[in-house]
Amino acid sequence: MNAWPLKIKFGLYAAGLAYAAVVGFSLVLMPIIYHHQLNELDGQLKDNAEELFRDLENFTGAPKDYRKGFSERFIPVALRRRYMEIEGPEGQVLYRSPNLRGTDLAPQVEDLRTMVLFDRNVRLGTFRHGLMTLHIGTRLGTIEAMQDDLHIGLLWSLPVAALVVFSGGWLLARRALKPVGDLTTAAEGIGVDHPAERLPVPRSNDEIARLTVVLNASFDRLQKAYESAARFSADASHQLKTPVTVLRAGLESLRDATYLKPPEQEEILQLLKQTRRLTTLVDDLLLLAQVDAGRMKLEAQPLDLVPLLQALGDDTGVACLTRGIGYEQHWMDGARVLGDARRISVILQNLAENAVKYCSAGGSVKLSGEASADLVRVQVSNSSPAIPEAERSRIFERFHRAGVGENIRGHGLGLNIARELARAQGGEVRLVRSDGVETVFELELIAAP
Amino acid sequence: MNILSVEDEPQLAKHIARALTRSGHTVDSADNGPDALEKALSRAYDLVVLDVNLPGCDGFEILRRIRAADVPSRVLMLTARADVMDRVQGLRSGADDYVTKPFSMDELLARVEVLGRRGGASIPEDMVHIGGIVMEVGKRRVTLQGEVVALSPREFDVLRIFMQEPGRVFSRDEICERIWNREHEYDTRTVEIFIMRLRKKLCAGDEEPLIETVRGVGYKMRRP
Repeated sequence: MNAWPLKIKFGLYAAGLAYAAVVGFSLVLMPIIYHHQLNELDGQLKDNAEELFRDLENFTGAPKDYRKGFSERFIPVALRRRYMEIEGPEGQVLYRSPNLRGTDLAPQVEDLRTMVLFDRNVRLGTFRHGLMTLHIGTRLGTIEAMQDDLHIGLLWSLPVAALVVFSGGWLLARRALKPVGDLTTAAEGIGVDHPAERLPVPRSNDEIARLTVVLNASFDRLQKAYESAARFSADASHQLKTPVTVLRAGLESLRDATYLKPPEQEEILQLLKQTRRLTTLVDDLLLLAQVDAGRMKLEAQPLDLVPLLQALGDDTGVACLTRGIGYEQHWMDGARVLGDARRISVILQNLAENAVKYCSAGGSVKLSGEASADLVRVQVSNSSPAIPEAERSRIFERFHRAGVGENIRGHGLGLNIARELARAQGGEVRLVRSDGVETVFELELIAAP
Repeated sequence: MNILSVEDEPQLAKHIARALTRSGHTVDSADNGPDALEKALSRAYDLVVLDVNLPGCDGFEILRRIRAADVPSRVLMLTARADVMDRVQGLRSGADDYVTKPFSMDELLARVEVLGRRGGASIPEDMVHIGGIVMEVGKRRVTLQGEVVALSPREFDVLRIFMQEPGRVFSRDEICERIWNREHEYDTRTVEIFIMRLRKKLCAGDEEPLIETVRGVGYKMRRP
């Protein structure tokens, strides 16, 4: 339900509320109607009784002796359908209507009451006049039928009411939420490419207008943070490289000093090499900062990939020789790609360096390339244990180094940078295979037309 | 040469001044934009070594004003970014050469020498001769005593470094840096192997190898 649109939720909530309201309304209304009708019935019974007593008094030939019973002809026709029992002063039954079938109504406490007679609810009233006591009753049938009708009516009205209220709620919510939809569309337009865009503030002064103002203020802060980050990536090259240059100049003048012994000179040379590592790392971090800021600009132009591949083969062949592992290469005849030569070299160098670095002892590294009409693929493979399934996507993450012992050097940016650079020129770097025999990475580039 | 060194980082400025003085140049220093501009415009220096990022005034701005004032000094820019943007902007503003930070002092001195010697931009010549070796840089072709020597791409790159500045000693690191830009796992050892191969390919007979090892420092190309 969390995934449902607000409009639907609004409709459902409204329908639920309407449902509860109708049920509550009927719970109150029905007993009120019932009691009202009952009172009316009681009134009728009283009128009946008065009518009967009047008739009995004024009727010519009416029995004067209230000790003897009397026949039905003294009972007004209109009352013959009532249950009726008339008692004399000593409690003797003067008349009992035939529909009572002999049942005695007499021993009752209250004047007005409801009782069950022949399995039906019956309302009974007891009235006294002179020496006579009259018990008169009628079935509650009409009232009960009306209650039943009300029940049915209410039950039927529930789904209808719910449907109407649901639609109404949905429509209202849609109207109320329309500004939110507009905000969503506007917010989608705000991004790295259009950092200065803002949400249009609705003319109304409601919650949504206030939300918009608050959101715009947040965007302002984000833009400021983004701009200072972007400025950092521009300044950082200078800020970081200057101290490295100083370090290097200092180390070089020490290296040239004549009073140092060979081990110290060797140490200085190692330190100088570290300044180069530092430079490479700074370059890599700046590059990723540019990628993150969406500011990496690549000058993609048609270029011949083959010289880059030959140079790569040259380096990799020698590196393999140095490590004592095998090396093979199979290049395509010609391959023109769209890209930035300097960046493609970095990608290739990262992939090939990894291949040499992680190659099993006694294994070999293989470089190959193939060109089709619209894509050029370079595959870099080495003999190595299989990369575990769980690691396969993570090896492209920043600073991640797949199951590497501490004896293997590297800062874990190589694959991440290779992939970012490839993507920035419309290409891709992926792991094609790692089956325990060999591990194959592939660089895909767009072929130049 | 009379050189004005404009660099705001005092340590680096000190090293640059010292290195240039040792090589026999007269050096004035400036550590901020306005000061640099005043000095550069008041005296015709042979060369201005100019940092791009300066307090008070951008290096490019100083370069532009020097050019606008028709001062004949040559300008060598020190830039932190190897970006195309900086180069293009620098070229348009009229710099004669660039050195990318972090640079080696040797490289800076070499560029300064080239600018002084040629009296102009350090555009590398396409045809270089050393002894019997002729290198056509554009065509990536090398001949020894008139015969074509087949060199792999990297062997060519290494040879070019030596051919363009014969007599200068290059450390392994410096060679690596020029070839790869980026630090590289097996690079120094790789350079040794390329140099070994070059010696073999360029050695006609039993004579001393053209590329000499300078013990503890690196390699240099013997001037014949």
